[in-house]
Amino acid sequence: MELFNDIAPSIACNNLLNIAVSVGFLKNAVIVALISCLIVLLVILAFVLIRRIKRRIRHRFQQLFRRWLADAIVQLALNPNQAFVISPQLTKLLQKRYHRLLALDELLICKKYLKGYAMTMVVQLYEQLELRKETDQKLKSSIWSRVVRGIQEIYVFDQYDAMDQLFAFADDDNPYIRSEAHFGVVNLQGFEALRFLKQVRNSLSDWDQINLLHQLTLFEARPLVEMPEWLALENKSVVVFALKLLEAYPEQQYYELVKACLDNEDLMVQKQASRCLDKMDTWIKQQKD
Amino acid sequence: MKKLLIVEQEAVILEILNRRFSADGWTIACCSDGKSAMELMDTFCPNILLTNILIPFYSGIELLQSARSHANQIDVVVLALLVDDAVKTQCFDMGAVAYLTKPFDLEELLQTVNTVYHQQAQP
Repeated sequence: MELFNDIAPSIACNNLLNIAVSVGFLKNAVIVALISCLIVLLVILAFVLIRRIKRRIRHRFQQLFRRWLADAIVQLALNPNQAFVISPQLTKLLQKRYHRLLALDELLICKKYLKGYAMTMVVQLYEQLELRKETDQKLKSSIWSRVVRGIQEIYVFDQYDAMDQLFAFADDDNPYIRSEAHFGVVNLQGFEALRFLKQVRNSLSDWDQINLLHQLTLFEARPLVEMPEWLALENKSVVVFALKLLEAYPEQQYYELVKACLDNEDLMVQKQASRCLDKMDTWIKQQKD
Repeated sequence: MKKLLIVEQEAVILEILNRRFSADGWTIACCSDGKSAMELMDTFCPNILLTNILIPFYSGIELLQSARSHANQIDVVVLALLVDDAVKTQCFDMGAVAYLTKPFDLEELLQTVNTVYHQQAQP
């Protein structure tokens, strides 16, 4: 009993102490949680603020560049012999890569939409501002979407000297890159660019084939001299495409080669050969009449 | 006063068209979507509407329909991204006066719009 009397106050004291400690701990925990929340909130706010500032800078530059470009084009229309001058403010801004990339985007849109003197001016500007450097950077990127954009810039701005770079992408493992490269080379060189077909080991998608056939309609038709080689390739998608080419641009000399494709092990090749022969028969009949 | 309403989604093209037509003496109203264009047709009352086919909210075709049924019978010049015979036929059937495809020559476009305006001015 005596022992109990001795211990009881100390237990009560311990309990009180525990309660006091846990209240203190809770208080500290609440403070830490509040500070953490505040920090997270501040980080989010800073992020939002930086984004807004960046967006404003981008918007301001785009407006400035668009106005200048529109004025330069109008001036060129009114005084064709007058050379366009880039304002010092714009020159200074265009030293920054971020602004150069924005300018490049604007010029790309203009080149797609306009022809005539305005288009010539846009290409001149691309070269004068040395934006090809940015395009080359994109071609070296490890991100496929940037490479695709780079390829697009090459053919949109008629950079014929980069043909080899585009041909190098023609058999890329990434379907988007090689698709854009195929479109790019044909966009620049027409029928002549079809030499890439021999180097393609990856499949040529249906969409690629439709795009290429459409793009070729914009060029003057040429004899398909490489047809025997294309029809003998192991890549069946290329053989199908070659047959589609013959269907669109029939040449009687390849009739027997197409006929031989009917015995091909690939069903798609057989089907396309049959369609092609049908078209060639009609064409030959028309030629005779 | 010759008034032109330009509807185009690409801001840089809108700016170029605005400046070029303004330099030729046109009073311009610009917008980048069909909804604003519908409002401007009533408030700005243009002589001619120059519109892209692919625009947000309403398509160029819907704008064309609305412009033709407008009290002022606004003439419409269509700018299209691709040569699509079906769309072209549809536009002409619905009353478009001209149909140009991109890429377009700025001076050719200006000439087309001016011709449409002069035809309007003739009784």
